[in-house]
Amino acid sequence: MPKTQSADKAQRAGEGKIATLLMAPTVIVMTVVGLYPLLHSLYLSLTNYNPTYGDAKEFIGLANYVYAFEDGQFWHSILITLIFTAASVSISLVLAVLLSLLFNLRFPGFMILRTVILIPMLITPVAVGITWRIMMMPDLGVLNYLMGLIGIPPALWAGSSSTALLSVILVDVWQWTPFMFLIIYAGISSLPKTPFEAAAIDGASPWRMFVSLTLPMLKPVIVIATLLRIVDAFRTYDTIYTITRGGPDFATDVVSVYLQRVNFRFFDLGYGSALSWLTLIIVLVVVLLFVRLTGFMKLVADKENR
Amino acid sequence: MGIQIKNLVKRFGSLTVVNDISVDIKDGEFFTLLGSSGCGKTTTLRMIAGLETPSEGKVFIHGKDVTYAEPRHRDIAMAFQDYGLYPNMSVFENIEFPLKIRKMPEAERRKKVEETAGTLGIGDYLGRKPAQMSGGQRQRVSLARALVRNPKVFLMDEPLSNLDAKLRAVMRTEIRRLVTEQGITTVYVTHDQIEAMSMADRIAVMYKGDMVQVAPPLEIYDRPATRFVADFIGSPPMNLFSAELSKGGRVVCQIQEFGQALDETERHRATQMADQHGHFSVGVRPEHLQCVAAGTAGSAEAIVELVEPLGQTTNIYLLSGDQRYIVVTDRTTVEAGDTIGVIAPREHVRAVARDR
Repeated sequence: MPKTQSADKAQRAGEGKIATLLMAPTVIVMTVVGLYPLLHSLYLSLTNYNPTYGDAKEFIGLANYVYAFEDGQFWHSILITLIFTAASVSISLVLAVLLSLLFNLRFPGFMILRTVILIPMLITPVAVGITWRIMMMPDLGVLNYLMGLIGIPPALWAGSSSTALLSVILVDVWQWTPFMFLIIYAGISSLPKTPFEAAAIDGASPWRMFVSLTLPMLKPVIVIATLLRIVDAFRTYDTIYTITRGGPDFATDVVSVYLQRVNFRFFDLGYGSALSWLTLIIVLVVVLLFVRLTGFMKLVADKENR
Repeated sequence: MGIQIKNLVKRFGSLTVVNDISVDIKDGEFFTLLGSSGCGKTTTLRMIAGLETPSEGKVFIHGKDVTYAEPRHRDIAMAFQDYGLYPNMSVFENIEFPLKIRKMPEAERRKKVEETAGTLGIGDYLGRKPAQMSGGQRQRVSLARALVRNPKVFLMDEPLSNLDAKLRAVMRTEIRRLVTEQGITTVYVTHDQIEAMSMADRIAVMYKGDMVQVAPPLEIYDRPATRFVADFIGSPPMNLFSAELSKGGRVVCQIQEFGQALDETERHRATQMADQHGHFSVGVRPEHLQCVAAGTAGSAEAIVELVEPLGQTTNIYLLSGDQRYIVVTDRTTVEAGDTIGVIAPREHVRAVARDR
């Protein structure tokens, strides 16, 4: 048999090594920039490390974690974050579904409008924060001016502890609804047409079609978009920091802003690491709850079986 | 009353897809729209269903003008080529859906669904999702969903074209039986002539947006009005030979022996259908031509190019002059290269219009 057509046993056995070889760069990079810092922060969380007091650190066991459970400021910021996430994600979800339905009517000119609508998510969050901060200024801001034109009394926006959280939710909704819209619109436009025609002939009203067909068929897409947004909203930092720095009166002190303060203003790195790990666990619990409640894994399995 | 279509036109931009169609479909009739893809048959059906709005013309269902009515106000049922099942619902929920919309009480609904599913042989699959079923089963579900509400009008858009040949034959008779039993007026779109021939009370052959012939299946087969119909129906199709009416009413045909075989009636039809130059076609079905010994009186001489034994029948490909045509016979001893005579029996020679 000619040599070109056959490989000997050693050559075939060597094929297994190719997979290892191909994975090596990723594994190495991820270990250096991902796994090592993660484990190192876990180690730091068990010490009282604070570089402003010099390089020395003591191993103090779970003391940081015990202290965290009594840290009202931390739990306050977790609560604010949960409210912020829940409100922002659900509002932008509803808006995105409505927008997708509207754009799916495919009126002329919608193509351009669809592109314009995506712009907010392309802007740097810090720029978004600065722009909105200026627009929301109670005295000089354009929002109060516009509201004045139609007779609505001026608001304090981010300047008052009662409306600050609402204001940053508004900005987050404005920036990230396009992202939800993009995913859900893609989902809606790829739905098969005949079930809807069949439903029209079966006598279903448009509302009925939406409830009985559109929403159930869109569920996988909606669940994925929402999951991504939940994770994303949980770690929101730049817009809120540029608009309010967590204030006034800690009304917008979301967990990422608080963590930044502990870690990089007070440089209480040991305690900060412990808080970061607690936050990670809380996010995981939230995500797992969401996955469980929506039957996400089943949706994925169904999709693969098709 | 059935369905009446009056001067229906559909344009997409500058493209005319359906071109001034008028037809009366009788109550309880099984009416088939037959044509190759792009001929406008599906568009016509969708205009009856209300899924497309006509550019011109009117549609009446049971005497009511429904031209611009929404589908849900037409009281029709429809089966789609890709079934159009609701993927998020089980088979039971799929069939139940139209009843639920009509607010039928639950016990009655369940009874109706089970009864219809039983008739269609899908009673055991009610708990499944459409994705877990085969094509044939899915089509049964879609038929069940249509039939469960006892529609007066049933529209079907190539419901069998995604099934394999054997299943298609079974479903053909089944559909025909179901709609005839219930006396449902049916409009059935297909590109498959066998489906059209075997199921329809009447066939409308469509070609480039025109309805070129509307007649019962056997009439379409025996007396195709135009060249397109002759060529489209029958496998192998009808042999066509170009012919001309001379001033004196004499017929000049490419194969003169066949032209002379036209009887009085056909000759008369030829005078009516010939174009302004007197051109028309002489048509003979392959199974009607007879092979005889070369030189027999009244026969045309032909060279055998190819013999194709198919078991039940045999196709003989012939060449006379520069005209190729086909004869279908029983088993034969004729071989490629032989010279034989071909006779066209008088009662089977037709005049066929050249245009369309």
